[in-house]
Amino acid sequence: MDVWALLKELFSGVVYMGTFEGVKTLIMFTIAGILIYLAIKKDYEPALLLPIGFGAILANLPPIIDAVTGNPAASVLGSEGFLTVLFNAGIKNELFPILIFIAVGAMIDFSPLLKEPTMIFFGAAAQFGIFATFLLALFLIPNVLPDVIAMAEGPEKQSLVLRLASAIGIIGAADGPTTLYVANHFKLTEYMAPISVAAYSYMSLVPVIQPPVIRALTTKKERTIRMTYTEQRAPRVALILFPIVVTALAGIIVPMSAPLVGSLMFGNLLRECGVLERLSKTAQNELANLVTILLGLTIGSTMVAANFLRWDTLLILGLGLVAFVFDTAGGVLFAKLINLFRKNKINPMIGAAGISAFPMSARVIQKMAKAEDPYNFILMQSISANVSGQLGSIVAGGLVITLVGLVIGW
Amino acid sequence: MLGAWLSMASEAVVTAAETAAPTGLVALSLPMKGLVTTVFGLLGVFLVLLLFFVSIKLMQRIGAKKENAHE
Repeated sequence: MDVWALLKELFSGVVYMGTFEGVKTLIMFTIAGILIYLAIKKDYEPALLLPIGFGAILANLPPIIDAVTGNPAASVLGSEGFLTVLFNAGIKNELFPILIFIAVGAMIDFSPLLKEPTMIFFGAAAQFGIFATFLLALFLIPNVLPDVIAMAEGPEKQSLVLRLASAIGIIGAADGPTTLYVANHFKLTEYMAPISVAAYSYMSLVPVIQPPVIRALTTKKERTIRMTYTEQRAPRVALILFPIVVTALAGIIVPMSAPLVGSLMFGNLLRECGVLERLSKTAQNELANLVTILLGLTIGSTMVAANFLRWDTLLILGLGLVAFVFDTAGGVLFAKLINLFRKNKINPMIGAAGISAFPMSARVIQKMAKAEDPYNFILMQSISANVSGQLGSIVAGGLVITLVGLVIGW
Repeated sequence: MLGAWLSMASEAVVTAAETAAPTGLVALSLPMKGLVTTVFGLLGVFLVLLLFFVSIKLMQRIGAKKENAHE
């Protein structure tokens, strides 16, 4: 009996770590460690970054031979591995983003927006980054990643560039579920890891990314502009009608946005109807917590070294950051443009809250306002812009799917 | 007669919209496809949110009327 062969077989994981693939595994462990560090030490969206980081560790464990396919894969990712089951059950069929939106909808109070509806336009202006980055990606992908594009054939080349560019652009929406929804719709499974990691990690880095962009585009005088707000809540009938009307309008005009808008608004109706407090609380707590755990782990599980340690990952992460910066800039500049025509000036920082990262972006804006003037309170206006950003990003996602689908003939 | 003519005409319009427009878009160059998506996408977002804005204004009126009626 060959004892050495037996030992090699028995400790195949240890042997694997000594190979080139093992080095890649160590790099992925380091990346996962950074995500977990940011979650625990820096408190950057720990509910997401921690499961993502841990999912990445699980997905990069030394492979075993899959009993069904015969291919090597980490035991959690084989054809019957629990992370594969979760991926097929929740990401591939877009279920997790939908469930998360029900939870988010139940958490959102649209009252500030219903009282100051003009803020809704910031939710549109801050989607500028999506389209600017989309154009930039269309130019960069064929030039920076010719090998990737060369793998596709004929008209599929253009289709791949357009689909990939649209998913990269959507990262700027700062809206993880919508980003997953678009990437999934365009069958970009291979790029799911960098796209979702960029979307969720930049979302958690809003306090780091937005302030320098806002400071660069505004003067101190502009940042200290005060705005009035009355504490009175919007009429109950308006709060109940809002989710129903928005769902109907979005579903009629942009049918591709209906699953996301519908689930967000369903969650909100649970909250506002006043007769389903138990369900509303369940959506806000148990549902949100459960899906966040499963979503985070599953996203982390897509970070397999072979799919992640590539040049296109760097491009996606870089362009995702650009999209975030453009979105922030778009909102701030739009507010400055509006101020040219208004008597009661708007604090232009509020425009930056038009991205979808709710409620983090609104909090960041309030914190910045307070740093400039301790008695300036613009949280409610920022929240109005922030919830508008949530709506704007979903609509933008639906429109991108529809328009790109039309131009590539899907 | 008029009904049949109308249904034929609407059918022709639908067929034309279904075939001509998409094939025309598919034939565009990559930069043009990008521009079409960008322009219509941005306009679309503003248009849909404008509709939301109008609907909020209407809801505000309904809410105010209801509250006045209660008082």
